Amino acid sequence: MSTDDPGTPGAPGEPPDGGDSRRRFLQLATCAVGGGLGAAVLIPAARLLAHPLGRSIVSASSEPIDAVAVKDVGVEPLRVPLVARRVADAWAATTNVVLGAAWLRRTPDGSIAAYSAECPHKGCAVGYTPAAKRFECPCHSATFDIDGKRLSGPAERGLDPLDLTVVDGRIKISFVRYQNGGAERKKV
Amino acid sequence: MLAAVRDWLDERTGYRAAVAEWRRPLPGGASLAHTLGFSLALLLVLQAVTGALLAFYYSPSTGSAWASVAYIEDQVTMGAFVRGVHRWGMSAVVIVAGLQLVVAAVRGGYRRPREVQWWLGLLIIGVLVGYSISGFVLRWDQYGYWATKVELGYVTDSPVIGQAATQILQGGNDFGNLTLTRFYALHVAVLPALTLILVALYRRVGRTHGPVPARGAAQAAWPYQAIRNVAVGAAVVIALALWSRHAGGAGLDGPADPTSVYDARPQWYFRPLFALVNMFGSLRTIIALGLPAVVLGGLAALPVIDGRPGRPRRHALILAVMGLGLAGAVIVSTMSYRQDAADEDLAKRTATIAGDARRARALAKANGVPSPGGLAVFTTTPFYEARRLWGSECASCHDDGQDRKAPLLGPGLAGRAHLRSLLLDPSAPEHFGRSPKIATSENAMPKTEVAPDELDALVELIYAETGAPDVDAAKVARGKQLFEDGECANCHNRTGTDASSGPNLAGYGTRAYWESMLRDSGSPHLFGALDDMPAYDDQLEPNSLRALAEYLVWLRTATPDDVKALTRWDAAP
Repeated sequence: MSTDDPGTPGAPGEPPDGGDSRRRFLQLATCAVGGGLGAAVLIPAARLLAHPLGRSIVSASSEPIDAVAVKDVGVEPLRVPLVARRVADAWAATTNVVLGAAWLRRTPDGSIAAYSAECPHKGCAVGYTPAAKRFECPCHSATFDIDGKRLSGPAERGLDPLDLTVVDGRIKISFVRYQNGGAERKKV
Repeated sequence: MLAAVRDWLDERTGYRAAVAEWRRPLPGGASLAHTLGFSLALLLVLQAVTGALLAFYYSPSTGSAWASVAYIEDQVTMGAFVRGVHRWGMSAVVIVAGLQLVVAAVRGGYRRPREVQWWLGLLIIGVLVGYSISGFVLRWDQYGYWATKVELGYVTDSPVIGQAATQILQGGNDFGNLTLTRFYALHVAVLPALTLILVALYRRVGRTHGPVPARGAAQAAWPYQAIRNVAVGAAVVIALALWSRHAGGAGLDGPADPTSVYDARPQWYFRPLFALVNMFGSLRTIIALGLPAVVLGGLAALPVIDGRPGRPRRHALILAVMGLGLAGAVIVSTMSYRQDAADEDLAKRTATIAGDARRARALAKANGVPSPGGLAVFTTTPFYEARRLWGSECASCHDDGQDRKAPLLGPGLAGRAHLRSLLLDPSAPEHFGRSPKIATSENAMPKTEVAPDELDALVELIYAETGAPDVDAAKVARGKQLFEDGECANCHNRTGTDASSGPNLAGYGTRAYWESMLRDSGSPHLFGALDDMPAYDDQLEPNSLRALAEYLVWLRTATPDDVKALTRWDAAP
């Protein structure tokens, strides 16, 4: 409601006690109370909406994820799903949730390397092309060599390596999600 | 420059005409009665805003409805506040809409030429009641579940269309996911759309004749009515927030439990109907369905009964009937509330329900709710799996009861008091006195007859095996001496896993000890030939054995109340 249009003094409907200053005061008071009402609604609303800000609403149990037997990993990259035993997701306590996937391969020196299958560009899942011996992202054609190094395309860094340990012949992977984009790896 | 912008805007939107409407003289002048419409509109906007906010966190499925509401109530910033305002906002809507109806009736607002406006108002009230009915089930707590079951029960009783209407509303043969999605769709899409349409019509019709004028001199609505509107509106909103705080917010029972006994009670505005329905048992269906129809029908008929002004007697008669109806409603409601307040059994059941709610919400906050949904939150109770196995495998022989055929295992197991009592009289009924083989064996352990300080030392020695942190080392050393020099060592080993005629006491009371006891209590280093208990090695998964053993370890430091706090939930699936 605009208040800066000067009213027409003495217009029909103005009561005899409705002097300019009183009317002006009532107009301001109305705006003030109305504004107060609006703030009383907007402030709690904003706080409620911002609740997830900076909170880990979805969090997986932190123990390394059992992925695959060591003997099943060869020199050809192998894609394994990473299934967290427990995930807390807002109100839900869920079990056996697929968090993502990893590419595993045995390197020439005999050790095992693991990369997150999430493309560091925009987070699509990268595939492996055996003929070219390289990883390719289906979304924007980023390519990476078999060691995860960036070859071409929009990605600014290589595939994100994942830490792994071997326990009783099984590979356990610590899954970490990094922010998309950028040459530096920053944890989400 | 600014004027040019305004001209541009006015040419395209006609805003000046809308503003001018506020500057037009209001016949009869500003009035408090006129603030009701603004207050109702303000409350409806508030309901829309708080409802939208809740929708950011709510999930309408049987697996997540209660859990998401508990999340809003107990974890989301300002969640409990917003829920409280939304729930009690409905009550405020009923009060203000009801007041508006009464004021309109007193002022003859149903008479020519405002009949259509009156009917639209009644339709709006009908839609508003729909929000209440569709809203409470969404919580999927005990209250929402049972209140809605009862309401749908009356729908089923309606003539001809009852069955079909129920199935359409609840989405099939029983309460389930479709019940939630349907009531959610009604609550957040269909009813709001109807409300918008009806309110728009109401306002359009209202512009032709305006409200029944007050009795003063004409005044411009801006600012003379506007200041009254915002002042009353602010008072209503403040009162609503204070009341919600006073009432403890929206409240949330434990998750809907179809097996439970729940005293479903309606919201206060349906209480008169509830009271009457219960007063006339055999006529309950007729009253539940007929009375609202009679009241609504009567109100809708007012423009016909008293269509033109100038018949004060008729108007007075109508007001008298309305007043009597309202007074009757207040009286029967009060009687019904008093009856509940005097019912001690009801108070007990209500306290149980409240305890369930506290427990369920504490578990949900601490552990999250497993995917099967609300009730599954009880499976996150500590030792839930162990207690379940205890019930099916152990309780018949080891719990306090007539049929017990083995040592009583309960709180304080392997604690000092328990060990002392065991040593003093191993064949007492609470120890091995009811175990068929041991009780009748010549090799059963005799009473330990030693000086009190020696008994203390022996108790401490065995107690130390449990790994308890509060062990008196000097007593243990003394006990060791007594153990080796006295008769104990004749039958019991205290190290390794060597066999002996009595159980080897190494690690007595630890998780590993109980696990090996559960696997096979008849193994040579435990009870051997005197054993009566089944071996669970092949019957239970390793995880289950471990859970049970952990529970037995926990018993050592548990009190009877601690155990009771767990058993309370044995019935939950």
